[in-house]
Amino acid sequence: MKGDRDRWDHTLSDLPLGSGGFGSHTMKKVKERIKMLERRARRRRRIAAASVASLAIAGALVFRGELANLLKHDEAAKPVISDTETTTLNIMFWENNTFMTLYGQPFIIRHPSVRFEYSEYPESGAPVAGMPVGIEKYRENLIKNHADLVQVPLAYVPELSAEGLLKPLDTWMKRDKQTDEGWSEAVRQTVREAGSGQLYGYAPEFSGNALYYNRKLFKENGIPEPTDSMTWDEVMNLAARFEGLKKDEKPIYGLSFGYYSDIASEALAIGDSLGLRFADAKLGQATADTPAWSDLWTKLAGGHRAGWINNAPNLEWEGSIEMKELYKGDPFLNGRSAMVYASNSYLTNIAQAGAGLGLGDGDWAVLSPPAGNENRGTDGAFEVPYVFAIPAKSANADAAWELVKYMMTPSQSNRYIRFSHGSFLPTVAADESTDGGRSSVFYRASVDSTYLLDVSKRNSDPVYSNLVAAVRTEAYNRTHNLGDGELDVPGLLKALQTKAVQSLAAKTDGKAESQGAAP
Amino acid sequence: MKRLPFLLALAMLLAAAAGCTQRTSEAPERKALTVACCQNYTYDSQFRDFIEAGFPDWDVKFVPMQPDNDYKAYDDKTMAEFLDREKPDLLILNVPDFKLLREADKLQNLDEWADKKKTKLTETVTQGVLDFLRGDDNSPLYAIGPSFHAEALYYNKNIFDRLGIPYPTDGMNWEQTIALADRVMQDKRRAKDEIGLHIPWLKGPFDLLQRIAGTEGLTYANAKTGAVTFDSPAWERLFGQVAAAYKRGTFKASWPKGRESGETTYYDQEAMESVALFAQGKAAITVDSNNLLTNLKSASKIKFEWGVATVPARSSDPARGGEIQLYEMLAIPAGAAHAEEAWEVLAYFMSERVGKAKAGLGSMGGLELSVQKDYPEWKQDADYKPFYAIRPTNTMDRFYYGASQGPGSFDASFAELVNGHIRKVVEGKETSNAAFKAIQSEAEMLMKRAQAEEKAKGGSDTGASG
Repeated sequence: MKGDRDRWDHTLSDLPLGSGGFGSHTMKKVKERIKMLERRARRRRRIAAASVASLAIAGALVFRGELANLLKHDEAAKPVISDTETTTLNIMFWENNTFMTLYGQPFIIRHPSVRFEYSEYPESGAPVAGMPVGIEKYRENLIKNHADLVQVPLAYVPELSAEGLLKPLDTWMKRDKQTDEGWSEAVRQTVREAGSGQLYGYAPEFSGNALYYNRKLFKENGIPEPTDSMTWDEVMNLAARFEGLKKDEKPIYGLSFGYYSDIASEALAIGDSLGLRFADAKLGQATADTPAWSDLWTKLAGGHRAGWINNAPNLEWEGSIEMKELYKGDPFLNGRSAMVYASNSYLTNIAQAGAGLGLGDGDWAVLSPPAGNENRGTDGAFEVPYVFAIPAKSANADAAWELVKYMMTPSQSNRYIRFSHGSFLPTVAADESTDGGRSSVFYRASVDSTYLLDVSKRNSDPVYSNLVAAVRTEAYNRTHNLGDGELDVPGLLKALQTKAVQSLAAKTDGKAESQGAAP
Repeated sequence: MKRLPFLLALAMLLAAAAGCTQRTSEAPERKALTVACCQNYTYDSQFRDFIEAGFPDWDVKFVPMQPDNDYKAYDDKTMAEFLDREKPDLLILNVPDFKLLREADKLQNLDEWADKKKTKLTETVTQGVLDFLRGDDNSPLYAIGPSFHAEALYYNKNIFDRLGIPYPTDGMNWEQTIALADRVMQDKRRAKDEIGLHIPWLKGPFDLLQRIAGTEGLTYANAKTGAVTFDSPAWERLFGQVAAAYKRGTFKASWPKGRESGETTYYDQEAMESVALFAQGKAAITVDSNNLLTNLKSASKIKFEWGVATVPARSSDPARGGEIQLYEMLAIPAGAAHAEEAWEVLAYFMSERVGKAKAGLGSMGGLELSVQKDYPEWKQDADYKPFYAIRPTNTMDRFYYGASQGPGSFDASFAELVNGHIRKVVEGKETSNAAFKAIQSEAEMLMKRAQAEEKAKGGSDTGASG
């Protein structure tokens, strides 16, 4: 009886209800590096404060009257957030419990009189889960509701800020001596680009991509290691040099894409990094069957056929499966793929399973991602999903700013890693020990922020994202059961183009209809 | 003009002085503390944020006492080794580890600390928690924690309203609770799948009997003397009542289906919900922990009105009832190198500031209640009051209601015996009176058998019986 009670309590305390679904396995140890940074920054501040004080005292002898007034004013100033009276902040975030876990809890602990209430998040009314609902819902929300802090897709920031619906943050940044210097440079640029140079929100997280490679495999086979910022052509040519090579009777691949991959998702991922798309900028014309797409599909098909791209069938399962079973099937993790193109979240996969599957710490390295000839050196698929912004109408804008300021602290970044949901990195670098310092490649990512903003606008357009979903499904259906060498690239592209044209037409009709039906 | 050189000199002097102060105060002012506690996850979610917010300038080192997905049971030797190796200044302990250290006299007296610091450490703490911590002999405090778990009686207002039966009230005892549940059960207008009383985690009528006996302070055996003490008027009354309630279907026992993994049984969300009859609106009354309150408040699925009253109280003392638990208690080890800092952190966790923050965290701060007695006010929620209105029947010294009362196999076989007789009463094969009378003598035989088994065991394996 006692035993059962123990277990029950144990199970419960391990997974508290409403924890936002974060299991203990995602929790990471705290990093000492950030502590060091905080310590240094604090010391600098203290020294600065000391010299200001000494000057003030000296000045007081001369300008005693004026200074007295100044000091009096300072004394009278109340803290932005009262310790005794309740301050209620209205939050618009995609999931309330996640907000509390990530930001609400540490902020209330610092300001016990703060309470949160929530506005409905526009995407929760989306017809298809994960599909963007368009800027209109956000605009409506900002005009009608009374949120103090809103999560807004980056793509909508240019318009919403231009319409004066979001508070500019630079004045506050300056007043409170906040700096964006410690942010990921790519995030900083992109967020500022969205505000035409001004800051209208803090983007707490981003994702980037990289080329991971197995040093041992390159050395063993006498093939020169890849370098930073290669083009996809160069990477593919390098990967092709592994054709036919074996280790312990099993094939070695030059390139792979993780534990679960198929040619269609590989084409779309590389297409993103090359800047390829399925429709032109005005969404007038479908562009799924272009020479660039044809070149990419042909190379991928060739790699699969010849076996220098991982072509082993994916592990299929029903119901639930443990991650370690999936990791076993990842050729890079089990030492049989020379390179893998993946996002920053792949660091977690390596950390969790690499050593256990024989990929030791010194066996691999990570480089900035491949791109096209035109965008060489940049991460074309870098993503800044959203910003936290303060609506112009916020009644508690000063308190909301305090919350944003807290979000920018390195100590919050540490928390962000501990309570991670895996696929994003904090904008202010957290700690080194989570990934053995390997995440630095993502913090030095170079991006074309104008291009990224365009991509993000396109992806946040319901018309375009429906089109991509249609093309993706079609591509998958037409390829996933094919044996190696059976892919007819021109036929496939023709079909994808037809799908894209249909999708555009349907959306245009739909728009026309709904506009016609409106009173 | 003459004043200018003087002013410049003064400014430089002041700057230099400030610089000096800076240098001399820099090194020693950074305080250090080593905290030993729990698993990484528990520390990260319950303690780390508070310590980082309260002591941002300190060097705080955390040493986990428990592995991430397992439970390590310490003994005197392994605990001493742990303390030697990690040299923690502040311990955050579970009850077994606290007991180990307390018995070995390795913890500092917190009452003495409070006196020394002229701090009223316990003045704002709810009396029930202090009762629990000070134990049966009202001993000094050697540990204290910011949060606790307690029980209450929950009732479905819709069922009571529909049948025109008055709601349960604070301070009712078990007899009154069962009588009220009986009224619901006897009412013909009641829906077929509704029952009067449901208590989770009870396997059968004996468990309910034990629950009530725990409240009343009744024991059925004396482990030391080997006497069976079931044959008493108090037990007779209790047995008759539970047997009758069980026969009428007023009380229903249920146990979720677990998933066995090695030596551990896991209960998933689905299994838990399948037996949550109260949350499904099918039980008029339940007695459950404060976790249920959190769940009722956060669940959007609850389609009925409900209320909370104090957990059923002891008949002879309406101020006592139910059990409380503290999972994490702060203590200062005897040899702590940074005892002053440890005290500072401990006092911070016991402060109004932390209590008020917890009130704002909702279920994010964990499912526990703050030990601060003003917590319901800070929550601005009267539903929390019942947990603070009653003192527990258990203490740190008597932790579980299911604690064994007889030697070896006696407790299990006694439970089986009682359940068997109640089954017969339910089936009409035996009267409640006859069943009660039979139990004492049969239990005495079970006691003899258990004693003999223990003796045999002791003979063959003397080392293990200490």
